[in-house]
Formats: sequence, C-alpha cells, structure tokens
Amino acid sequence: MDILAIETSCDETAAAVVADSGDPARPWTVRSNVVASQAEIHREWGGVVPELASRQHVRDICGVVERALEDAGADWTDVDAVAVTQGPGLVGSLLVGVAFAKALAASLDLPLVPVQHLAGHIESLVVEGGRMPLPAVVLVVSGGHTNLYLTTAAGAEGLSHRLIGRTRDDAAGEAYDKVASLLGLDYPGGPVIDRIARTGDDHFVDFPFARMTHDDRNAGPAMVRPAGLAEARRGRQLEFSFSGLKTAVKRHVQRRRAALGCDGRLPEEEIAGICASFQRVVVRTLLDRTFLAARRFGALSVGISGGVSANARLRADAAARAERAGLPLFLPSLALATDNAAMIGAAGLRRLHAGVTAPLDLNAKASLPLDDAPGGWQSAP
Amino acid sequence: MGYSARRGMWILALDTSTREGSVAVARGGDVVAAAAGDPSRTHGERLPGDLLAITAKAGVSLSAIDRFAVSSGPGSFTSLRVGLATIQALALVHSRPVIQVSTLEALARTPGAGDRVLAWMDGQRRDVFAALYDRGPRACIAGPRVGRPAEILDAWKPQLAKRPLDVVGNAVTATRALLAERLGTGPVLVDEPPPLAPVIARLAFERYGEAVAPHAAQPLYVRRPDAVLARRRGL
Repeated sequence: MDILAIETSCDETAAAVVADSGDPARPWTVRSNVVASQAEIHREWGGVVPELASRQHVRDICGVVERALEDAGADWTDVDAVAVTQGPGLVGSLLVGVAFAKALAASLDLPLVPVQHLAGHIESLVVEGGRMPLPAVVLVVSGGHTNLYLTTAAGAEGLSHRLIGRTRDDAAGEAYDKVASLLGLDYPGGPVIDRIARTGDDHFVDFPFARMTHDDRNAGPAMVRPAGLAEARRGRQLEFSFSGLKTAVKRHVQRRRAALGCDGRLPEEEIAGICASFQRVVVRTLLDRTFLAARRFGALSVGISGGVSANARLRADAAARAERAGLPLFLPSLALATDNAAMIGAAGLRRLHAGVTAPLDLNAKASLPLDDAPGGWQSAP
Repeated sequence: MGYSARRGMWILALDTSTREGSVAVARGGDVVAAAAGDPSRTHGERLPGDLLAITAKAGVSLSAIDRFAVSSGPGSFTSLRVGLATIQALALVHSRPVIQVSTLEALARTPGAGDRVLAWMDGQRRDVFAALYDRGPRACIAGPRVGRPAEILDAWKPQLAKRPLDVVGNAVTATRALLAERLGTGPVLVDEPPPLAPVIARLAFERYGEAVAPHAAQPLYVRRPDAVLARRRGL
C-alpha cells in the first residue's frame, strides 16, 4: 500500500510517498521524500515568520507533491491513501497542507489519515532503524518541542505515546537560535553552534544547569497534579527548562563585551568556548533526563528525534551513554531529523492499518497533544 | 478554443474571501448551481465538502470540470490560502488549469445602474481593500490597494467624481457617514452584495484562455505581511 504524505507544520513544505515493506522488522519503505526548505527566507528575520511561511507553502506545494510522485515513479492511480500533518504547528502553515490533502483525498476518493507531527518524528526512528524494542523512551527535540515520551505497544502493530516530560519554557532548538542570535551568528542556530563548538573548550564558561525545585506554575489548568510530594519531585525530574541558560549566556556575553570594550563580536576563540560550554549544558540536560526516564520506566530502547537530534555532540554523547546503559539507541539521519513527510507517511500507514481515518471536515490544530494515555503527563509511576 | 466549444465547458468556482464564502458550478457562461457557505464554520472545515456538494447538485463530477476558478483576493490571508490550496489540489489531480479572479473585480460586477463602481471591502483593521472600475470588461481605473477609508477616498477624488457611481462591499456599513461626507448622497451604496462565486464563474468563462497551471496560482494579498510592514516602520 502506498501513502502520499504532506507536511506543512512550520517552515518546510514536504511531500513523500511511503509504502509497506512487508517486513515487520523494518515496516516502511520510503519511495520518495521531497522537502522545500524556507530557511533562506526566514534567515534574515532570525526566526520563522508565520505569514511568510504560509505564503511560501502555497507557492511550493504543487511542485513538491508532483516531485514526490515523480521521484517515486508513481502517478495518482498508484496512491492508496493520503496522510497529512494535522498539528501541532503554525496554524496558517498547517491549513495549507490540510486543505490540499483533503482536496486530493476527495478527488481521488482515498482515505485521509491525520497525523500528529511528533508521532511522525518518533516514527522516523522506525523508518531507518527498524522496529524499536518496546517500551521505548523517545526524546523529540527541535526548535518547537522538547518532549519525552514513553512509547509502548498498542495492539498488534500500533504504538501508544505518553508524555512523561517536557520543557517549561524554550525548546532546546529555540535556545540554540536565541544564543546564536545574541552571539551574532546565523539562523538557524543549531548547525552553526554545533560547528563552532567543535573548536571550543566546553568548560570555558560554567553555565548553570536548571534544577526543577518547584512545580510548573504555567502548566495550565488541564495539567494533572501528582498526588504526593515524592511523586511530584519525580515528575519534575523529567522536565526541561532552557530560558535560564539562555539568560546566563546573555549576561555573560554582555559582561565580556563591557570588559573588552567591544560592542560587536567577541574574539573567535571566546565565541567557540561559549558555544561549546552552552552546548555541553544543553546536551547533558537532554541526555540526563532521557536516560533517567529510560531507567525509571524500564525502557528496552532509547530514541532521539527532531531537528536537534542532528547535533553532533548530542549524537556522540547519546551513543556513549546508550552503550553504558546497554540500550539500543535510535537516531534519524539528517534527512529525517528535520521536518519531512516520509515520517508522516510512515506514521500515517501505521494509523491507517489501525483503522484511523478522518472525515473531510478535518481541521488543522495549532496545539494537538500526542499523549493518548490516561493519567496526564506528570503522573509518573 | 472557439466560443461554441467553450459553451459546453464546466467551470467550478470558489470564493473564500469572506467569512461565508460561496461555491458555484457553471456550464459555459450559465450558472447551473450556486450556494453561499455557512459562516458559523471555517473554510478549513467546509472545504472540500462544499465543492463536492455543489458539483453533486449540478450533476457533474469533479473529473468532468474543465476549469477551476477561485477568488484570488484580497481577503483574509488564511481563508484565501485555504481556498487556493483546495483548488490547486483539485486542478493538479485532474490536470486542469486554474483561473483566478480578483475579489474586488467580482464585487464590481454586482448589478447596478452606475457607470463606475467602487469595490469597498472591509480589511478588518479599520482599513479597506478598494479598487475602482468602469462597468464593462477590464476597466480597472484605480487600485487595488489597502488603506484608511478617508485616505483612499481623498486620493481617488477626481476619479470618484464621475457619476453615476455605485459603492459595493462589506465596508459600506462601517463607512456610511464618511462616504456621505466625501461623495455626497448621489452614489448607490450596496453593503450586502450577492455571493461572489457565480460572478467568478462567469468572469472565468470570459477569461477562459487566461488559465494558469495550479503551481502559478497565488493569492492577491494586497497587504504586505505584518513583519515586513513593521520593518518598514523601523520597529
């Protein structure tokens, strides 16, 4: 069965054709995977401008979808279903993909499968690495998200994802962008800081690690509060916060600029040291939580996906920790780390096989939780 | 294509420039089915359902449609894109071209006695989208532009002096006093024009040869993105 998938949740217009492989150990075959990135458009703004992103999606979507079919050697009659990212994301961007996908499904009389974007990121690990030993702890980390999930089996081929940790403020990728911006480096900040940090001393500055000593005051009324103090503490241990780190970098840079009497860039080796020190704190924070969760939940594998999973230091340190913990580690290639439609197609096929389809009045949702398990995200066992 | 061949062609038209929007099916220049949308539901929810319903009512299948027509704007950015993305997908699947029609031009086709028509749409930010037309094909005198109602009326004062004049669009209600002050009591004011999709279908028939590939169809935003406007103001 071939599924045509469309992803427009942020600043990449993407389409892919994904097929069942017939091999349960590696269930998905990516027949094509096309991404039109808008990074060049948003670079001069230092971040994604939603209206510009939406405008570009409408420009690119026809060509991207056609190219995905062409690369797969397929035409419309070969498509058996249409998958689309329903959310979370920028609603104006999501709507372009959802409207387009619904019209395709209606004209071709095909089932329409809505996919949660982060379920796609988790599925990207299976696309390349094959079936994950379950339960698995998966960190989805990007410019928009820093979420920890406990992924378990649901039915014969289904997956269930439960949110067990998340960031209280900035996503890790967002922290990279902000730190890059205040160092006068390019957008997006992740790849730039990763590259510069390689030449720097990662103990150059002693940036702080965030410790969660209080409950999240901004968690919202819907959040389930754990019953006891010990339980609450355990829940907090899996939460992230990066805004304090960003502020620490900002203060440090301001102090150094004042001391050096410079109003522009700091010396190169100093920038490299700041990048390396910042990155050390981010990577350790991410991996501490991930592997703590893996121990606590008795995970049989660990996965890291999303744009930040392309970070070289994160990949190297994660590999070392996984080896120490004796757990298989799942990481996507660069092509599947950042937003793409192949992962949406794979997650779409999984849902389709579980009998999930959407009616034609499907609407995009800017915030769409992945957590489908009862109990809420903080009720750790 | 000769005129007689065009007479048999099916056109599906969609307007999402206003909250309710509308859909229509025409055979040649004759509208055979049309419907206004339900403003309590978003275009995102109603599409492509409204289009499937109107083609079914007209007794034609999507695959038999020869041209997909859509209002290009101006209007709500998001609604325009939802409408256009829907039409793009239909046109792409069926290998048919798209004909885009300006919302303001469609408004200016609202029947009336005036020789000149001011299309006058609410821009949702205490401003209006406006364009000025002479009756008859392709007679855009000024615009399209976006701006404060008083500024536009002042800028176009000489052209607006021509009589008889009709002012058409959903910005009329909020600017009635201003229009009376600047234009006098002569012009006929129409604040609730009929649904635009039938007009768009007829205009698409007139412009049958001007269809473009769905890839090339893009909204007519008129207003620049906020980020660009803010930068221009030096913020």
